[in-house]
Amino acid sequence: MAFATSRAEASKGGFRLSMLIYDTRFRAITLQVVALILFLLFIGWLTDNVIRNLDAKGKDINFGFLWVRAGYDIEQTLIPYTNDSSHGRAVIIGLLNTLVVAFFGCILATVIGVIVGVLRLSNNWLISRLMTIYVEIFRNVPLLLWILLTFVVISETMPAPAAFKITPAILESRAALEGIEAQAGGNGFWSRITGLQTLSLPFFLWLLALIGISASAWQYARSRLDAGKAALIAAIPAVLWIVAALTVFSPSLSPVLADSEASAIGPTEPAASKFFFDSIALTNRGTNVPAPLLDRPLGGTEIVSVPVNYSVLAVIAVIIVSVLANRSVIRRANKLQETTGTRPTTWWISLLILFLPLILLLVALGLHWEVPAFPVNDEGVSQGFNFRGGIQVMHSFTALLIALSLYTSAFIAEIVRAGIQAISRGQSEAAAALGLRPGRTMKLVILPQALRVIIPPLISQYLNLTKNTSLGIAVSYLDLRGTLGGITLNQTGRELECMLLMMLIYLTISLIISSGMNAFNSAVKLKER
Amino acid sequence: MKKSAIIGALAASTLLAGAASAATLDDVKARGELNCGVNVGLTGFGMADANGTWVGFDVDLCRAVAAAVLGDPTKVKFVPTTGETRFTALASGEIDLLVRNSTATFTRDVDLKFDFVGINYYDGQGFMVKKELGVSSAKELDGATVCIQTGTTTELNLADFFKANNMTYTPVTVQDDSEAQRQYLAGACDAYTTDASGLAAGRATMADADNHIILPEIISKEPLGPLVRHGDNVWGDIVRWTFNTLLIAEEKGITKANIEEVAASSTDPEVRRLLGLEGDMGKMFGLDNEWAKRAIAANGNYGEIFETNLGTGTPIGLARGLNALWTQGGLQYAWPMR
Amino acid sequence: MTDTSHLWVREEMLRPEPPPLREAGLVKWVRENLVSSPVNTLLTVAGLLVAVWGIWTAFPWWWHSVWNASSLGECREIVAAAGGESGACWAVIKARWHQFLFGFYPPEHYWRPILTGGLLFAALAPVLFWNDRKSAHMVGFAGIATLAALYAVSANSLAFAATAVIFAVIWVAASLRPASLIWVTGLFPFISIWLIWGGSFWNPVNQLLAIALGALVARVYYNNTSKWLNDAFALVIALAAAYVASVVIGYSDAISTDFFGKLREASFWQGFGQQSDNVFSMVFGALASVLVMALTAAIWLLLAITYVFSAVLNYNLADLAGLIWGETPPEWAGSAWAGMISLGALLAFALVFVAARNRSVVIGILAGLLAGGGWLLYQAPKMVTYMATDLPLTIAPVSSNMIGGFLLALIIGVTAIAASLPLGIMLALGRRSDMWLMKVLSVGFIEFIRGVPLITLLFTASLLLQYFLPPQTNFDLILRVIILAALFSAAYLAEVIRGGLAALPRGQYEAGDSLGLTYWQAQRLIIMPQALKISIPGIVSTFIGLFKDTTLVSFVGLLDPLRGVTTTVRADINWKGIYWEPYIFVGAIFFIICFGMSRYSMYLERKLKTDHR
Repeated sequence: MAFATSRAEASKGGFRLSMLIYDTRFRAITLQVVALILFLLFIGWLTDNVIRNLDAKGKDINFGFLWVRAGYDIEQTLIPYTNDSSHGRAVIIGLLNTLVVAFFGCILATVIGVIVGVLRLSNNWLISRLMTIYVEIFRNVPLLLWILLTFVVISETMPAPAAFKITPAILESRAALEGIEAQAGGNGFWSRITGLQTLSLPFFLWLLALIGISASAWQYARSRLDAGKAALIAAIPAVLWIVAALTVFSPSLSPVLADSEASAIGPTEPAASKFFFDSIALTNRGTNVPAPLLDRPLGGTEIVSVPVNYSVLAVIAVIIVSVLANRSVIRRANKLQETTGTRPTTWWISLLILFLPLILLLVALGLHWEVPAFPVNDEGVSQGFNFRGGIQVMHSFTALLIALSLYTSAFIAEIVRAGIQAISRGQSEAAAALGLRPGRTMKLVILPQALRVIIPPLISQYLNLTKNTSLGIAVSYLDLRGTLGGITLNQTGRELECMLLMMLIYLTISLIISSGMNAFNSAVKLKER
Repeated sequence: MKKSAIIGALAASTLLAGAASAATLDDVKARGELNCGVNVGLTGFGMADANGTWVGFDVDLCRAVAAAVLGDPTKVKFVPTTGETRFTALASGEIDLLVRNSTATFTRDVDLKFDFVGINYYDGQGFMVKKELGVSSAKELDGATVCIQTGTTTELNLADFFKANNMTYTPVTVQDDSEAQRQYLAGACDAYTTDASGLAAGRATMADADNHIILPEIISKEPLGPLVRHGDNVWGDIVRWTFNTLLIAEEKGITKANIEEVAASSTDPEVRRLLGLEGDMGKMFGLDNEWAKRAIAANGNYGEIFETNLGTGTPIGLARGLNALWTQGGLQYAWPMR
Repeated sequence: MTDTSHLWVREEMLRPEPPPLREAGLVKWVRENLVSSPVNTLLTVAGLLVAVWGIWTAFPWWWHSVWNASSLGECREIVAAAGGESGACWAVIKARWHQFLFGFYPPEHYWRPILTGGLLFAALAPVLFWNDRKSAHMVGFAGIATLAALYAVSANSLAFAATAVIFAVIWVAASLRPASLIWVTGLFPFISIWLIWGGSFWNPVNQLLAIALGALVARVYYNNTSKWLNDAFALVIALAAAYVASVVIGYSDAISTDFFGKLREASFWQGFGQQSDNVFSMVFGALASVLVMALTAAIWLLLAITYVFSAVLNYNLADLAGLIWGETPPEWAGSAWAGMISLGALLAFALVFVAARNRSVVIGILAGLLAGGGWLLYQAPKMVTYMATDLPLTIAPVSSNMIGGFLLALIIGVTAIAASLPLGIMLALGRRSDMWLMKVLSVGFIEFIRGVPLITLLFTASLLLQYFLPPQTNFDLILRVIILAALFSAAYLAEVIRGGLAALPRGQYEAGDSLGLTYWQAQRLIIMPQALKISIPGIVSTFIGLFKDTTLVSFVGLLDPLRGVTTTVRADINWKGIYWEPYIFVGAIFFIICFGMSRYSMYLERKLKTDHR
């Protein structure tokens, strides 16, 4: 074995061919040159194959199809799109759909993941067990299954839009009912209580929640007050809960009118009803939510065929300015606290700064909500197949979002748990010795330190989630893979171009996310000296 | 010359499953097996049963070709393909023949470089809706939510139809037929659109078939047929004439059961040419003269294949309709064997 | 002590009072674990709500399970007859379980995948336990489980007996000397491929022969003491290297000549920057056009460098002239002879000869590969035919499209992870290498693979690979998918192993250097054994991830258990409209396998931790 020769020895002997292999100074170069040659040859080989294959098939590499009319429709689009738009625009639609599900997915997964991760360490036996089950079940079953199952669950359990419609039959029964009510002399609050179905699942759950709320409230009040006052205080949330049940949830708790006379009449209300003050409708096709409309919009323009709305820009600008102003107020308060030791009351100033400009702007723009509803004809009968107005969030999106968030949150929960457990017990003991409450210990001592351990693996979870949005194909969510790598590829037959473009886009997204998060990581990581 | 050395070294790897060359017929014969692309699972047309045996209308055509070329209808390797992978699989030579309810269109023929060698099923795109909707025409579907299978011509037809009639709709694109039916039944869409045969088949197998109606409008022409790669005309001819053979057999009343009898007794010159008793038809494209006889004997003639897989005797219960022989008012019109 | 003024002295201790009710038993447990604070109470109730809701909604469905029916309709009738609103129809699982597990694999051959699965555990035993008695236990358990599974699928008695004998032999060997199981590990890849795909027994035998031959050649080369034998070896190997180099260079030369002609015809930028009435889309088009042109230019540059390389290595100035002035190179430039005497071939010859005379390990391995490869390419096919005529030890071949269900998932998962291990190690080393190029290539590969979704790689396997391979090469979709899955997991494994490498204290590397070990010796003897050991939990979780991701192969038309087989089952008229049961069944099996593995990896993690700290 010839070992690395020293510099003096090498210069003495002059250059020999064997030094290319045995001299460590040259060997690295030799190896790299050989590797470079092989790599280039490999690339050349691949490119050559592509060209000859294309030649044999009589095809070429041509991205011109991106400018051709797409001819297909997409169910959910963030920016205007019709089947007359180009394939290129369909690609942008797909990309936006990918990004939007990835964005909300990351947020939701983080929120759920942190909650589950912290609760898993809770000393509440039931909760920590439930969280363990949650984590293990979601981690160990393929994501694809979760996506499919979520979709099936959502679309099978929700009512069809037709169930929200007012049919002629309903109008007839209403007319009939009015007659009965006129005879019976009104029908209101009492029928709701007497009609409670005490053997139904919603009622049972509601009762359980009532017990929990009052017990918890009593326990809280008891730790500060004597028993009598505590009972009084504890009664408040319980009463609120009962009132809420009778007003807000009442349709699901008790079908109104159980008396015999009325039951002879058909249903007087549609089988399903919108909730949250009659504004949100959950159907088996999607979630219909009110759409914000402006009376005096600021107009907009289009940049690179992506529409830009000045009103939205104005709202965003106002929010940013408010947040910045609020931060300066808090900073000033901090300074005052450090110099004088007393902290001025700032919460109402903060509230004012944060919300007043926004509210003023929205009022100035004339914001109002367009509630989804069925169009009604002169007799009051609902027309059409679907809700009109508002925004319909398709279930393919919802299912994908939920499944992705739940699946990823199981991993994030484990990361959070590991991060928290990585902090030595001494830290929490020290915090306890300083008299910090557990909540503040977590917020001020544990989490800031755990974050350092948590963020790097969190980044790769975000990346995974973003890449996993491509499984939206299973529920036909038309994301980038669904448009560019799906229908466009299929209709144009240009596999090479579509696949290469798609990989390039995914790669770009991944690199942007990971570099962004890495920058964030280096900003928050413990500065060691 | 130098290239061949490397390619030779690559190709010699033991796991290579053979190369597709220009002469598909030679490849198939050398392999002793026909690679036939079929649907992953479409009731009546192509699906695997509990034993893993492939059955269906399209599948039987594959078997007939295998019987004609290789002499054994079981020597077929069925390659399940999705809407997205089917054309690539054919173009790359992974399969020799694609029989997967593919619509013959200009772009597929010209731009994608395939040859449709026959139309084994004339279909058209229709709509199915629930009776309770009270809709009697597709023109009343303005604003409806429509389920479509992605990766097919149907999504383009649908867009065109609604555009032409100045109506709006919400598409719900679905991966496969069974998922589309689930969504439709769950009420996730008002109407389900696909080939009318698929609708009829789906409706027939629903628990409450009477609550669903198929609207009278047929919004497109869907000639479905087997396809092969451009440029290999001999192979294309073999598939084309295997299919024609099945039609001629029906015209002439030759069935799986009576084929031996007919062969022994028939004096009809065309039948004799078909069954290889006269002339040298098979030799002209590199097969023996019994090829057509074997193709018919595999699963019977076109009519028999139809009846076994789709016909009124099956749960699917499709009528022949456009697919009846031209003599019975249909469109199936075989080229003469001459 | 004696002088005491106490009037009364207690002679015996008081019996301890029982703890107060609230501090003992169930009450204490509930107080501490369920209602220790208001928040906890609220959480407990919330948990109860979820649990009650879950059980209440799902229970009737489970309660009305139907196990015996021939169709979904029959199931529904039975449920309705029993008075249930909805009920699980497990009959579909009973009717089709074999397809979920094996796809369309011929039922009479189920013993083959089962035996392979059993042998997999025997092959894993030395990897997990090395020279420990636990190996023998593992083999024993695997054998019993295999026999039980064979009984369950009612395999024929011959298969039963053969399996029993095989496992008995392995068990005895493992009990006597556990490390000897490594032979099973070595043989497993060949045996398993033969068992699953079938064919002549002489195929794996010949593959093994090729390896034995290669090893023999390498060993003889490395151990020989005679100088003239060594020189002869060096000469032969150097000649072979020169030949290979000349072929490769000549080929690349041909590539490049072709390429420049083709590039002019190819229309990379067609369509970009097309006229449009919108100024923004024109700008966008122009930008995109610039981007694509830049990419094209980069590829062109790369190819130009290749071309210059090959021309220089070919010592062919006329080619260079052709590049510069665009003339066609003279006829003789591409001939084999010109290639043989080219500079590149000479250089390869000289380098290999020098290295071989000094008995470099790498050269030994190359020689072994050459010998083994030669055997496989030229001799093995003849041998198989020859031996098969005399003694046809053949089991029925099963083609890839028959393989599906969990068998497919396991084949893809296990093969890909095993194949990706060496590649992952190389990539991890490359990423930590001091050599700039190696580092760039490794990082580029890893980041590319990790940056795109697996599903696009699978589509690459099914749609694009045909473009990147020489025209008319075409192989099994399963193999293509395995290759891409292996590349995918290699990138992830590389990161796991890199973590393991980073965790090693610097002293370990320095110790290797101070002992005068070469890079590879240090890696082999010091670094890798420790780094891999630390990485085992990470490797297992990568495997779990990959195993779950095998469900995605349904998108390219393979019969995975989740969507592929389920679609097939639902295409059957009898089972049309069945959703929950297949999903739950498949999900449960996935859960059992993945949960078991993750628990095992946690156990390993704990065990490995105690070793170190």
